[in-house]
Amino acid sequence: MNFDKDLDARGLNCPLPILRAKKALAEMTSGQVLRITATDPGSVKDFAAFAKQTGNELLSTTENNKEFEYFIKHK
Amino acid sequence: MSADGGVCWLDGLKKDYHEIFVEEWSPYLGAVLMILIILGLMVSGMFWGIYGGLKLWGDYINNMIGIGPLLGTPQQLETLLMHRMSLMNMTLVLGAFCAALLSRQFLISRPPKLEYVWATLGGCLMGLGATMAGGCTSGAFFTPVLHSSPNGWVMCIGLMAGAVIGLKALLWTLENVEWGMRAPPTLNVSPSLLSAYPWLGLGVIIAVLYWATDWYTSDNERHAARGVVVLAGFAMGFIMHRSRLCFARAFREPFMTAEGHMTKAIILGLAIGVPIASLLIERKLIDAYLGIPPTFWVGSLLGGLIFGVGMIFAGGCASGSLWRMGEGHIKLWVAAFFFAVSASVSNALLKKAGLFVSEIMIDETVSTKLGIQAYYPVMMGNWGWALLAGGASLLIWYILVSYNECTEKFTVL
Repeated sequence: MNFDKDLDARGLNCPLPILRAKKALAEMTSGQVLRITATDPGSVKDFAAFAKQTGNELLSTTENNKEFEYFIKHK
Repeated sequence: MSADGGVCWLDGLKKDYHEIFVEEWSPYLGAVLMILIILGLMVSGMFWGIYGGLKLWGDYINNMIGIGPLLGTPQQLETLLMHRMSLMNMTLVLGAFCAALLSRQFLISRPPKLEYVWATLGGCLMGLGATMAGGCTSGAFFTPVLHSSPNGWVMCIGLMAGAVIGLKALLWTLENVEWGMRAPPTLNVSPSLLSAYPWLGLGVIIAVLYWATDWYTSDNERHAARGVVVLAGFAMGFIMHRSRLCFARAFREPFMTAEGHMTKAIILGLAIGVPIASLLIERKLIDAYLGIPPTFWVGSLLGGLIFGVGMIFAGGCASGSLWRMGEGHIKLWVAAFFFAVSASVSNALLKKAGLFVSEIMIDETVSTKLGIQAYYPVMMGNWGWALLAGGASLLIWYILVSYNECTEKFTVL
């Protein structure tokens, strides 16, 4: 999937992946896509809740080799 | 049985395994199970706390590095396995480790360098805060609320304020600090090891069951009394990992994303627990004052505030740090280490400052410079008002969290 910005949130646990994603999205424009890589299993629910709350669209969630990858589209 | 029947049975087993041991549990389920364990402890005359165990670990560390005598730490300490809270903390980590193996989520996770600074700071603040409040979120918030004491509610206010300050500080550094943000590569787990995780988890369960039974049936009285603690701690860690139960989250999330799931789970747990706990106390199965520290209100409020900031920095309170240690997060190992050292040092310093000088009051409760052992049934004269006060506090908390979920009025992001 194409993305405009990449955020490495590996090794971080809550609340930092969300805080950093929030900051990254603030520097982007409508329609742009942010990719986030994280390792905390708790981040799966966190990003789902974050997307729902902020109105940014969570395009996909995948897990590969203990790394979670999220694509979020700026609203 | 036909071959198809066999396959179907195996598929069913796999599906059930996935649902129970891999899929995340609802925090509501986690909170209800947690309260059952705590009530079980209360029936045995015990209460749930973590701080005392961590402080003992800190005493050991301080004696080992030689500052123990300076602080006046006793040189003869209870052994790590015989101290009830220390034992329960250790089995809690083990329970979470086992759950992480069964779900194949165990991973030795190395954070970026800056996180070690947060872990150190957070651990130190939590150690100090817990010393002042007479315990962590388990021992000085959750347990006192269950024991119908306003101490827990005062700490709750401190924790909320601390969570806001902690979040603000984290946000500020995100804008202004560049150092140490780069993550080291994720450690590779070989597929064969990963597929062995559930079997290792099963091994841990069998070993712990053997341990608990061996102690429970032992002729040694001290061992026999601690068999239950081994199981309770293990189950607590298992449940907390499966439902990702987290007090830090319950206090932080309403101010962050306004999502109130975890907070409401804690409220539900208390709503079920308070009436039953009151009954156990009234029937004299446990002495209510055992779980109420002499910290109302100065110690509870200030301690809660400091602890609240610390748990945001560390990414977990005491129990939250312990179960994440079991899942393999190095950051939380560091946080717990500094929590322990700071708890031991803070305890010694506050003692030297005379803050812990205790007085026995007329009603035989204890009072210190940090406060008293406040207990609703005595303050209000009867159980009816006491339960009403506890229930009203829970209801107000619930309404605020729900209101915030719709309006996001309290978020600071």
